[in-house]
Amino acid sequence: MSPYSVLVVDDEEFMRNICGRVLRGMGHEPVFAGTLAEALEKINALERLDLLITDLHLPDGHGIEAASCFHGKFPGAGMLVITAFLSLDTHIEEFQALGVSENDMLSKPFSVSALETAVKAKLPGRGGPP
Amino acid sequence: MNGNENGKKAGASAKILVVDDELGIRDMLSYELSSHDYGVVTAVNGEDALEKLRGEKFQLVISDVKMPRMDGMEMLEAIKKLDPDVEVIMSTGFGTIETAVSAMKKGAYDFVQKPFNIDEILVLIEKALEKNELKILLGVYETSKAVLASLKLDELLPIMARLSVQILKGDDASIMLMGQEDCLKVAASSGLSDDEAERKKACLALGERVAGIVARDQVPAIINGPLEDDPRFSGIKSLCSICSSIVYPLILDGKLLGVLNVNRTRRLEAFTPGDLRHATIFCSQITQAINNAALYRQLENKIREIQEMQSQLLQAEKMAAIGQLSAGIAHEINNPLAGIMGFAEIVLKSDTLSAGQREDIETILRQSKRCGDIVKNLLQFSRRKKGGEKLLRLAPVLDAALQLAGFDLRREEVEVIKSLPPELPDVMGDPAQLEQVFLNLIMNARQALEGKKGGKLRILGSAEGGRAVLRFEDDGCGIPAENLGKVFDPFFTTKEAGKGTGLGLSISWGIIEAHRGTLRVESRAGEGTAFIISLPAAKEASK
Repeated sequence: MSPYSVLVVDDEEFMRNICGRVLRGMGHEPVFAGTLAEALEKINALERLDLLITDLHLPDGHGIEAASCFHGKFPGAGMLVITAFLSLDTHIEEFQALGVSENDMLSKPFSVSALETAVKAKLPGRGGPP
Repeated sequence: MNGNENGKKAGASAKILVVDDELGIRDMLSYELSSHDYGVVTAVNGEDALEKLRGEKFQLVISDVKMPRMDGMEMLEAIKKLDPDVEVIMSTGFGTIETAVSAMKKGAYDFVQKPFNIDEILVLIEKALEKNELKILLGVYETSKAVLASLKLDELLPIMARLSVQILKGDDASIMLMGQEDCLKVAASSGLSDDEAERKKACLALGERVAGIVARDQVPAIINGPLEDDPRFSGIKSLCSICSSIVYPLILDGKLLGVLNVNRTRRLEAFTPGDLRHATIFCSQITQAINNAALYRQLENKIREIQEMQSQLLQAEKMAAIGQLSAGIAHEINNPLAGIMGFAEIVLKSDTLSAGQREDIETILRQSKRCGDIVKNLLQFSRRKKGGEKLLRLAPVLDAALQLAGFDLRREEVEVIKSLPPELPDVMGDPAQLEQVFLNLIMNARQALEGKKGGKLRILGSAEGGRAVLRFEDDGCGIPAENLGKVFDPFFTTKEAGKGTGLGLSISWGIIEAHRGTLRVESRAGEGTAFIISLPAAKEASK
């Protein structure tokens, strides 16, 4: 039984580090991207992704683009948004169209347990996909 | 105005009293003057003349100097005492310079010699009447100068009323102004003392009713004798003994501003068309004064409005700049903060930490969270979220905030006096955000009342021109003038470190602004503080 694979998109190395450790601690397999371009490349290249965790403000674009591409290829997979602001801001309607609400949003700074809870809600069960 | 209004000469229709013991002179002057449109009454001697002067108003007396029983000079003195405005021309058949000088000294207008040259007399009469007219006009001019020096109606109208009594020789006068709902209200009166309260009320009531008719028709009226006898005002019972009245509508550009009412109650002589002419001049002054005062008031209101708008605008600009800055800072801080907290939590999961190390890292985590809260508040302030489009009543929102603050208010023994009138309009908004604002203002008031047992917090609602206004007023320590301009600035606080972030009022300000409302402060150190929220009423907001 292979673990869930989760794409973490954040330009801050330490954020990718934290998310990676939390995900591994939960038994999942993280994949990382530091830019929007890298994220799109990973989404296109990989055959399976079960969850996207993306920051909103990326050096070369906006998280909504990653989410949109991700949703196009893996329509059934969940998405979580990390933001240093308090809301989905100006992209709220676009996110809603992709099935992402303010409940799927983690405001920085968030606690590790908050991240764990959010991931658990998107990826039920400890193991990988059936 | 030179008296030529109706194509007649000055003092036309003026009344002249001719006093002479010689029938021939009386008849001759009567005939000549009547044929020149003057009203002529004759008297045979001084006593007869004085009696006639008491009975009616004359503009001019032409009198012989030498008469039986009462000497002409003696009579002149008595006339001037009785009516200082009446002009007197003395005449004699054997005049000396001395008698002429002495007559002029006693106030005579001029001196003529018999036998009369009638043309000379007519010129003299006209000059005397012109002077008489001029005297009244001068009075009007003087009063208008006084009147235009003040722009406050409550100071001005009593002066106006007093002057109308003086100039028009009435016993009492009142000025009524058009109030709201097109209803005449007495704005000032003169000659009606307070101990005549009943009479005053009656006169004013009468005045109001007659004035109502004059106002409706917009035509001035002289009413002589009992009101019941006047067909124009049939059905109105006179309540006091008014002998004669002038009721004059005050009209500007076709719009009725009010009515001037001058009455004679003790003086028996009736108002004349000449008096009405003077009233015309005087009323134009009153009208102008009322108009000036109204314009001035409008100007004052406009200036106040502009000043308020300007200060709101300045505040809005300042807040927008601070908001933008703080949003940027918040974003920059939140990222590293997420790192600090994340790694601290990860370290805490390790089994190899000593108790001391664990405690230290927990402190790092706690203080980082505190940073996070401050930043979150900042973001909340800077985030220009719309106020929300929910139609809501303010009373339940306020009650919810009061309930949340209830424990603190009771502990500090703060007496809350709440008065929200039923006409307080509903608003469009977000109840949670507004509750946050109310709670913030209530808690600020509580803090201002700290240590003062039995302090009062008044929450007063009102409807003001399409807006719902809530006033939170405490009688606490107040805000010093130098701090008043800073209370809405983020991070401005007078509380000791750690007790307040200085963001409460900034956030409240931002929320009210997002609701298209205003939040302002009034305060005096040592006396108390009032925060005033003004929100557009729902109908306005939903447009």
